[in-house]
Amino acid sequence: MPPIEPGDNPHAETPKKLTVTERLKQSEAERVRLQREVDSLSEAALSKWLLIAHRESSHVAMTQTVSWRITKPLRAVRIVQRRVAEVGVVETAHVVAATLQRRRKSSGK
Amino acid sequence: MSLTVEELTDSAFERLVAVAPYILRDPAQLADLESRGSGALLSALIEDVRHSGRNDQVWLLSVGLTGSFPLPDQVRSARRSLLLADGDLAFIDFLEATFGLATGTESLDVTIEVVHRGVVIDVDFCATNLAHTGIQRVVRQTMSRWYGERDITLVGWSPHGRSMRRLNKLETSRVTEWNTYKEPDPSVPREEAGRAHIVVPFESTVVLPEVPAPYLCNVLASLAEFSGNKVGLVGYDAIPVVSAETVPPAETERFVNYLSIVKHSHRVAGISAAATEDFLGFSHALRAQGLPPVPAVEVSLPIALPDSAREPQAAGSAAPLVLCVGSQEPRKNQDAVLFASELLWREGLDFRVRFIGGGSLWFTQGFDQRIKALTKKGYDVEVWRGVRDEALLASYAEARFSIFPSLHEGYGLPVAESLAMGVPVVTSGYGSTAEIAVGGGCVLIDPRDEMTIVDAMRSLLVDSERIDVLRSEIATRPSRSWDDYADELWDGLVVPLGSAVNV
Repeated sequence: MPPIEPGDNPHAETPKKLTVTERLKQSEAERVRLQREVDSLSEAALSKWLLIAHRESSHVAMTQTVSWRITKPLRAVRIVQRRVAEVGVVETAHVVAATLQRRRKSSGK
Repeated sequence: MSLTVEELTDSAFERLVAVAPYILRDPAQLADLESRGSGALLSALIEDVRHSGRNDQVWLLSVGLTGSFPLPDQVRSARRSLLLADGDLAFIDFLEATFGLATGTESLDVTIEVVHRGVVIDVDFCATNLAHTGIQRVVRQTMSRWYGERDITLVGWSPHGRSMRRLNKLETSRVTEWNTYKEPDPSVPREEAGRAHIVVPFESTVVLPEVPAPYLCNVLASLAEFSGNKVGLVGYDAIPVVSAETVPPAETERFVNYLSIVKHSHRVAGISAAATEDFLGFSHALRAQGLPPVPAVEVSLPIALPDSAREPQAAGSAAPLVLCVGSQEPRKNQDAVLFASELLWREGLDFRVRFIGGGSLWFTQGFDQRIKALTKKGYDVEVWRGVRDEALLASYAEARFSIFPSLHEGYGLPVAESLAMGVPVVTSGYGSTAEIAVGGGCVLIDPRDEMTIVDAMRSLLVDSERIDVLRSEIATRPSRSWDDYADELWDGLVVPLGSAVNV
């Protein structure tokens, strides 16, 4: 849609061109359509955020339970067992050593 | 509980609609935004809060979005994110800043009720516990008078302390009808609770007549500092800090957390001159942190009886009864009473001793063994725990005198109750108990000198004339009831904070 120029005359008869009023109406309709789109995108973003927060909160609640924390070392052992079965003792030992080294570095010890 | 995205979005929309009128004050704009859905409404709210930069609106919008009361760092972080945001990205930045709050929430399905310019009173402990010693007695006596008479909202906390909620019927009864309600049979299944509903005070007065549980202190400190609500406290004492050696370490930790609320609160009503002084001392120290002092006023507890359905009856003609009421712990000095009693029994005096009150197992286990040992020797001593006010009043009616040699008190409710029953009291000669004693009817002792306790007890056991003099002093004391206290607390604490409609 062409922009509204400062020299446009709302009373001029231009059969091929739309009147200013009509163009304003069209602009308004377009503004409303875009506004709806923005609203809908905002709503979609909020809905996604709520869903992720909801799932994350279930995860957080579970990891804060006593049983989850007590069984943490057991889960670590189980992961190592699986890796040994998949890639062998040597490869697993390398990965475990590298992981521990990275953790030590990141904790500054 | 698993929720669909539609349920989550609808709930968030309901919450945003509930808080919106306190952020966007133009009803026409509100109606338009509501018709455009949750995304549009949240965008407009964020934009408005971003322009105002007001902490109270950041706090309120955070609650509206997440259904959780934010902690101090969460309010600061959300506000900074808004102030730093590029206009168009403020929406995303705010969602990011409040994500941690949302994931910590108990349920994103909650609905909310904003209490605007009202009086919200946190009575969580009394509503959910059956303990009934010092603080709980004050809370129940006061709330039973305010409830129905004043425009108040009694609240507790959600299970993990994320938000305030209204009390259910049973909880309300525990707070306002202690002596008449009946606990339900625990074997009868309770009704399923529906969707959680939270209470959000805004531009209101929030009264804390209890010392909140440690896990609530940070969220309440945030409410006091940022929410725009005026927070008023009943100040009982500062014993866990200033007499830390007399309480378990956990009590000191709890109290220090409590001070984080006190420092941002707006008014404290001390239960005695001594307690008020303690809070004023802390208040003056706040200057070093660049914080304004918190006004502390004295609203002393009454010399009055607990409410009881029946008139107490004195027992027959057994040996004279010495009554020692109060929670059992080292600070209350019950061991000194046992020591003094044993000495006097050995002298050949005939009397009974009854302790009434509960206590932590750390102390009561050893205490009970000492009671058992004395009983084995043939001395007449007993402990009553978990008794209702009727039994307490009957014991006062039966007692020759009561004894309360506490090392440090915020008030000394058992001294006041004993005097209200016309029963002379042996009590500590300093602090709040000495304040109460000024009106007569008391024998003052040094609780750190056990022999002064022995002398006082002996004197009151053998000297009936002295008992009569003390009783006549009590009869001439000016009376002050729980009704008086409840009225004075309302006028001294709630009214000055601005939200109360004085009835």
